[in-house]
Amino acid sequence: MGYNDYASGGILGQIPYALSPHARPARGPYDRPSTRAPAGVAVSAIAPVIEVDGLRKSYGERVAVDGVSFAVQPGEVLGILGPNGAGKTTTVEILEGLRTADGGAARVAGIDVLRDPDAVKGVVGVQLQASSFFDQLSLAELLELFGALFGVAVDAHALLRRVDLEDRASSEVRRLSGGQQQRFAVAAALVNRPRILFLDEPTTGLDPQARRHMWDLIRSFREDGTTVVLTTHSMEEAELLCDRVAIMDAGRIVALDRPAALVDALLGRGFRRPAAVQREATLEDVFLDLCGHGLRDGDEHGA
Amino acid sequence: MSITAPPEQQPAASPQSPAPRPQRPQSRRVGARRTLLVASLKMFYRNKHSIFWTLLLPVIILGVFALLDLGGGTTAQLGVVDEVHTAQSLKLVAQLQKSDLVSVHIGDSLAAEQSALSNGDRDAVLVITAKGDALTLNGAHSREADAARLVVDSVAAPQASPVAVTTVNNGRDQGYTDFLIPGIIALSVMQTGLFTVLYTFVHLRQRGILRRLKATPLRAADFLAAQVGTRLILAAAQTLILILIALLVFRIHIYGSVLWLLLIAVLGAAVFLALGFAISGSTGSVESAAPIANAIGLPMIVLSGVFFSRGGMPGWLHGITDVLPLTYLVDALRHVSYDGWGLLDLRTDLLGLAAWLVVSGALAVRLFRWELD
Repeated sequence: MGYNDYASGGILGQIPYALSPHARPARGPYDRPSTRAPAGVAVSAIAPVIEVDGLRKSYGERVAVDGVSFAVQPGEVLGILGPNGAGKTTTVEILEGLRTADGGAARVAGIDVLRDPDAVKGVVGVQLQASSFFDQLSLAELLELFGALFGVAVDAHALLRRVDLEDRASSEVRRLSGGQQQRFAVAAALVNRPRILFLDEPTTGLDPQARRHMWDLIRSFREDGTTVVLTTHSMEEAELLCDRVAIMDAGRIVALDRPAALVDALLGRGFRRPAAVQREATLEDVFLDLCGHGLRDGDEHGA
Repeated sequence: MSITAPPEQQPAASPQSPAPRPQRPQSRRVGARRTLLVASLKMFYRNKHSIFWTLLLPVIILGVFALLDLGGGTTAQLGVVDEVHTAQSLKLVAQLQKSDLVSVHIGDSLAAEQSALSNGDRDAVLVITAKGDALTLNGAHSREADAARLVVDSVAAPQASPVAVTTVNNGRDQGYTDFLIPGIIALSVMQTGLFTVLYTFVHLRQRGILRRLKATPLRAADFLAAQVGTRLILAAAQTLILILIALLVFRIHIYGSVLWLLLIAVLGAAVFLALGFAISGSTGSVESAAPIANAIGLPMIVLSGVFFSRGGMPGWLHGITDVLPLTYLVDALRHVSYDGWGLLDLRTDLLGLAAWLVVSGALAVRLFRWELD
């Protein structure tokens, strides 16, 4: 695939990342025809696929999630931003059926998560923080194993092609680079063809090339009409990929809106950036101009 | 990579039915268990460390002990039945008890001691009667029996009547290796169950591999079933290999049924697997798993008669070690292999193992955790 296309552009050629000439491969079985609502159509008329109301969770004395409420529309990409310990991961893990909640209500794809957490696991796709996969099994074998856990047949090569890892089908996860491991985690999240994907900090710790590659992947889910809940520390990522972002702090959502609307609201309150920071390009642009956009995840952890 | 021809569209990918038809929950659970079982066996086969610890290490231990014949250093087990209780006979018994070369068991009746002799628990039995003393030697343990005879002769000689000596030869030519093999089988079964489960499982949890499995519809019971199934297969394979080596290389005699040995080994493996899972439920890291596994495993290896007979233990310690799971396993295997016992003779040991299985199995299911919060 033409990821090296990025390398041909100079600084000026790449500022609008959204216009990057990324060629999507032909549709495979894990690509879905777009069901995304055309731009400008009010999505609020459609029933939300995720509804969270007054969710609460404490670990002993520490309140991790303190009355969180939000709704996600079908096909929407919702970003959850916030400092470490803000309650992002706890919130999404409750929605994934991995954790119990102390109070509130949550429905995912029509399933009451608090009452039937196991049912949710079958219909959503999850990429978790701080998790891994068996060693001694190849990527293809792992995907087939996960398919069996969901009770579905898996075309492992098509899935790996979807995340650009088909050439590593017979490798073990520990032989992959960080970016490849994250992409594989996303592939594993796709085995049951979920219409709702939870991605928990998928780009944390990745180099800029691998990060942009992951962005392309998330963008493709968005084009397919998959609903994505994305937690991240990267403001740039949230701005580029998310229809709306929820900013969490100390277990509460302190703001929830479109990124542009949040910025406008801030400017409306009289905020001005220090002039010295306003530049045409960033250090990351310099880095990418010098090193190119090509992925460097060949064999850095290799045998 | 260039753009390739579009792959065949699967019907499942059409907009009308975007998700493949899910299987019935029951068949999905069976499929998940089977796939996990096959995957676990595959992972075991590909992991050179696990092959070493489960298959090679018991063989090496067996080789070392058999070649050094460490069993030769044990004291002779001498049963004494005093039927007269005179000052002279009490003095004789007291002198025998002072000897370092024999371990004296005061028997209640001659019949009980003779039966202990015939099943190999005694190397010699001395009976003191009004008509004279008689020593019966176990022909199968000639070295230990000779040692006992020397001790008895040296103690009894200055006294009046000579000791009449008879040798009971049960026709068996059994040495230390014959005694050792069942112990080694039990040891490696415990190793596979307790140690490798504890290590593997804590490792899987520490790395978040179990956390990822928890995010699928896989049920804990199905995961445990697949893990247990894998390791029971391994335990049976391991036992079979050890039996073959014992028969072909060490040329031991197995007097009971090999099939029974295999079944007992699998039952024992289930007990130690359950114990391993129960303990791993509350063990946070691989670093803490090692001392815990050793704290449980090593005393049992010493106390359960894996390498040496428990005959020399004091009575109070006997009472404790009698009910250890490894003791039941060692005894059951040894009774089949060394003594040629049948199923009914083994009921104490089998019931003991079954009781341990029920208790530790319940604990394993109760304490199982995909992740530590």
